[in-house]
Amino acid sequence: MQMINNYLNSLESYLPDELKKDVREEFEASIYDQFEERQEQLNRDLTEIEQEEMLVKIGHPMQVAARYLPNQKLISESYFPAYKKALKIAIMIVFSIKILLALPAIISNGHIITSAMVMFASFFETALWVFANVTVIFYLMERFGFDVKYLYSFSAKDLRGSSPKLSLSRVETVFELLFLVLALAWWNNMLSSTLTGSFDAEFINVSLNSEWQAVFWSVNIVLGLEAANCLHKIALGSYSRLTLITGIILNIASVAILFQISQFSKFVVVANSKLTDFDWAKIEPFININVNIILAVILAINLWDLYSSAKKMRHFKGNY
Amino acid sequence: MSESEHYQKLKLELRRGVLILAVLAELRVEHYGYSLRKNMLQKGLDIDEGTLYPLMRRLEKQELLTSMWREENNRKKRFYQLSEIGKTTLEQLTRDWQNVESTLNNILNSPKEIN
Repeated sequence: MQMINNYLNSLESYLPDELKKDVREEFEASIYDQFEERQEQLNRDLTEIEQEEMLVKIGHPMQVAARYLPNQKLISESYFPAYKKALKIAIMIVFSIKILLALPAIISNGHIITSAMVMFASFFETALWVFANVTVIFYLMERFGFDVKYLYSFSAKDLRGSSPKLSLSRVETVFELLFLVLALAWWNNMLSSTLTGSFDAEFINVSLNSEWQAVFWSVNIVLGLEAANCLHKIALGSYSRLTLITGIILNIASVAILFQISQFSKFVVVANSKLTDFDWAKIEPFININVNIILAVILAINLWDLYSSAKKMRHFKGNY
Repeated sequence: MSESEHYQKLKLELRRGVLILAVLAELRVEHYGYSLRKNMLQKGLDIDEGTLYPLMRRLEKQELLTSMWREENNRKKRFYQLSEIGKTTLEQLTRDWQNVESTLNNILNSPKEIN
């Protein structure tokens, strides 16, 4: 009966000391009773396969031992909703702080994409730490009997102030934020050099018209506020009346800036080539048309955003 | 998850709730693990040792059962029986069960509503 002995040894190995002897003896008696009863029914000894089948039916020793142990869940069902909420809030707070601290360095750094990738890698590491810490705190709360009712105590009056959530995709919003940060970085790097100098290729000299200088700060402010609004949405995990109204105001401001840009006499200035006889200034209207098309696309995106935000506002109509 | 898997999961949940009541009721008479399991199987409730023995231990810890080691057929066995608290609890749970059963029968046998 080596097989039974091995099973019982294995079972014992998964149990705490105070249970080992008792549980082993209980199972030992039960298994031998079953084997003997079966042998009597068959009027012969059990084969190895039959013995194995009977032991397998009891269950894996680790699984059986686990049923003797209290709290086999790291976070139990009653604590889980509060744990999930705490985890979300902690990750959002830590992420927001990290983004705000890292943003100036990313923008001022020449290698924006590399810096952003390094920042996101460090986010992942931070997220793991936050996850581990919040989990340990909740595990200890449960282990030491922190009363779950304190986690869910609430005032019905306070609940009245909250509006039903209009959920958003955090992934999409993170991409939107990334796009805005890159746009902001591009705008500053690009304009700081091109407005004073020019985009100087070997045989063509293209520079932005000096009129762009007039919108330098307004574009910076709008992009910066849109990035902040995105962060707010990511932290909330949903749209709120404030994020929607802010979005609408920023969309209107963007449209106004686009209108201002559209009034420029021209967008780019192409200087004559230094090396060839071809008059490169002739392609200036073509480049200006392309800039117009880009501006039209940006305008369309803003108008669509405006329409969709206004539509979402209806969700909050009548809610306090 | 297939329809059959859903059914198996729900059946398990349904059974889990009544298992404690069945074990308490059976232990109005003294039993050791294997004899209790056989007894319940004869009455139509199949429960494996890996679930039954830890459950009995848990109920004992909650002072609903008492246990003692005794030798029977040259083998040391742990015999379980309802404690005084267990008896009172069983009475209360039986009443609850009967109420649930009667309510559920009313619901299940009520004529279907026509929309």
